Amino acid sequence: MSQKENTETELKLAGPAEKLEALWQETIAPEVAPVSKKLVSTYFDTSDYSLRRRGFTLRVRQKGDHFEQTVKAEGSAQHSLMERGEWTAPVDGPEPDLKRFDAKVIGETIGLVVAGDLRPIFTTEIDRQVKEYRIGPEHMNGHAFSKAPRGGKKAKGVKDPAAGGALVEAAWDRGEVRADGRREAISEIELELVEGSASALRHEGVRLHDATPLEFQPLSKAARGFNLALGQHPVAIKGRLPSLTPDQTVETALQQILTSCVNHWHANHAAAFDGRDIEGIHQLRVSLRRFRSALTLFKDVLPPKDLTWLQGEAKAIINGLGGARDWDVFITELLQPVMDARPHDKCLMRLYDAVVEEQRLAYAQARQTLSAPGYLKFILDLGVWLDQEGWCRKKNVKALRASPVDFARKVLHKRQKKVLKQGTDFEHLPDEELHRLRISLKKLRYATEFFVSLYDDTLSKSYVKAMRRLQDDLGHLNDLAVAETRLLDLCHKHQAGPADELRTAMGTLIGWYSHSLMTVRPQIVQDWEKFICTEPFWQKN
Amino acid sequence: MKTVLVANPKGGCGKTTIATNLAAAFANGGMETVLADTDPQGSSLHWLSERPKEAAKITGLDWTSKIKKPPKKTARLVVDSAASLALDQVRELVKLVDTVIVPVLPSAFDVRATTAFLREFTDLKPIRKQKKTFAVLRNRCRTGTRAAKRLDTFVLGMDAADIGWLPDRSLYNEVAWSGLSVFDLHTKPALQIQRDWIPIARFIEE
Repeated sequence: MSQKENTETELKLAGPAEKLEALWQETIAPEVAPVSKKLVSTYFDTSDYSLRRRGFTLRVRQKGDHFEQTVKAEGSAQHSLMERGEWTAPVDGPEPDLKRFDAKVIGETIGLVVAGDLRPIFTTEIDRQVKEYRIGPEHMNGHAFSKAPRGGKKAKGVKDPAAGGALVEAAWDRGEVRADGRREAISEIELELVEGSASALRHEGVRLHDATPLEFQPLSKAARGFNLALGQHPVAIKGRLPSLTPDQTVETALQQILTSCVNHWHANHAAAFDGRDIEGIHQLRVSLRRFRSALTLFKDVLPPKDLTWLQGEAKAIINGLGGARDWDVFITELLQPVMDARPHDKCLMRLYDAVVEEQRLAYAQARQTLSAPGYLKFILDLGVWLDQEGWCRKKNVKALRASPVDFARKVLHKRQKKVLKQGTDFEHLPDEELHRLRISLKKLRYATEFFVSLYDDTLSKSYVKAMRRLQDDLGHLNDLAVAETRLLDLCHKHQAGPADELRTAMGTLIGWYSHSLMTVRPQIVQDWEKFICTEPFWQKN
Repeated sequence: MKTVLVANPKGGCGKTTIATNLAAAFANGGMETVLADTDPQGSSLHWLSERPKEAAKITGLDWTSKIKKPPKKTARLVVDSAASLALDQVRELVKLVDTVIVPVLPSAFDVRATTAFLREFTDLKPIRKQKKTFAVLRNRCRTGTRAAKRLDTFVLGMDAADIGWLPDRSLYNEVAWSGLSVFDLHTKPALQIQRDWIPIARFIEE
């Protein structure tokens, strides 16, 4: 029995058929003759989709006159989307036969499935062309990336994982996924690592994207098939906190924290682009804010040029999605409750229409941000940077090898001190200073979340709780402030007639929430006092 | 490795039938399977000794005097427990497993005995703290009967997962004589009976 067991490293790039065709013929190993295959795959699951719920897919694929079955462990939020476990075994017909897999594989993946519980869910039909080619180190040396301005001197003895080059299998897929009469087109190029380093594969991705701008496609064909079959859309995913241990180094902490942010980001790309789950854009922005916050925490051990580059790129994406998020919050959390209370208010309805139009425009801008060439370029470059440990410099080796506990204590203390200082005379703080305090508190919260796994959670629990409560309070204040700014801009945009109605609606809203703030404020002061009385967990024990 | 304990101190509620069929289901599903027997009568191990060589392989473990470690590559371990097991012994076994299945018959005597057992059982720390999952399995049921309805009320009243019920089928007994289970057969009636186990399989694997 031929068995293939491995962890796949692959990179998927999407784009319209004509773009991919040009790339395929001119840029991807033009000297290699492609092999064509027709692939028809049917995906199976139980009637309650229990395999999918547990993160596995099972498919039977027809290859000429024989069949093969594959179990895949789909990447989840805490795993990199590039790495997915995959096991294949032959099968006699179009139905799966789990006994044919290696005993270990089934025991550790999908387990016991009673005969008759599996059924076909959807089918993918693909015309695939495959080329296998080698990318040697000489390709990479001449590559634009290594000449990028942020490059500095590498520390001696730091290995460059790209140095070895790689053997790559490139597949160009054209076809569709079908479920219950519904169809969706598939048009993508997949790079799979046959042997060599993952960063060489990402380098190749950068090279292709530089030749022809492509789009990020983090969803597997299986995920798209399930969405189609179940009539679902991609949903937002909350990030997982990194789990650090005191015996690691600052460098491991840096690597794990940044990787967790990046995985959180990638896991929310599809939901953000789709837009039906408004949390998608929110979570994507959260992941990048956490990313930026992490960079600042580690700024002393990061090369300044790299820091500027990473901060700037992340900021641009956050801003590109900002409008969509602001209007989402405004509509669902501020406008809707008042409209529910005043269902016949014509001015509010007028405002609602105007705001929905703004939201539409903001979403178009968000999609543009997420499909811009620079966005994918940053994803690929950042992947290479993380793979190659781009932060390594001769002069920071010592700092990188230090204990993460000492590091955490220092940065947490610093952030806490800043919050306390900005919160002096909390009761009488003007709005703009409250806003600044909120930002500092958020940074403290992110730092806490990054390092909390180093501490016993009985110690950190009460602190984290007090901090979150206060942050929610201040977040509400900020939503109101943001709404006011956005509404003023909106009024300026409209002509005299409608603007009057909008101003009336705005007055209603501001009045409504100003009054509610009178009851909220004392609570916020109370929460602040509770927070400053809670002993920081990193000072205990 | 996943481990399942089949337990109920009340005798004759079908522990061995359920344990042997479950083990055979795992083995036929392509997994390295071990069946451990804590019953001095050794019914499960006796069944295993009758098992034909051609049938999917199940390894037996005698746990009557001592708990022995299953082989390293084991993917699924099924533990068949003795009747009239003391709570202390149950406590020790629960610590070792992931999932506990408590079979119960639709008879007044069984329901009463099981109620008393479950009261103590659900108070065990790993069960109370939901560190282990457990389910009550209605065994040898005929739907629509008054006894089945009473059993439904009983099971729903317990804080256990609902994994359905197994109808009374003579095939279980017929094949058990030769060390087989319904999962070793590919006949239409056997496949039909296997489907009764769908909720049980899903429960264990999730």
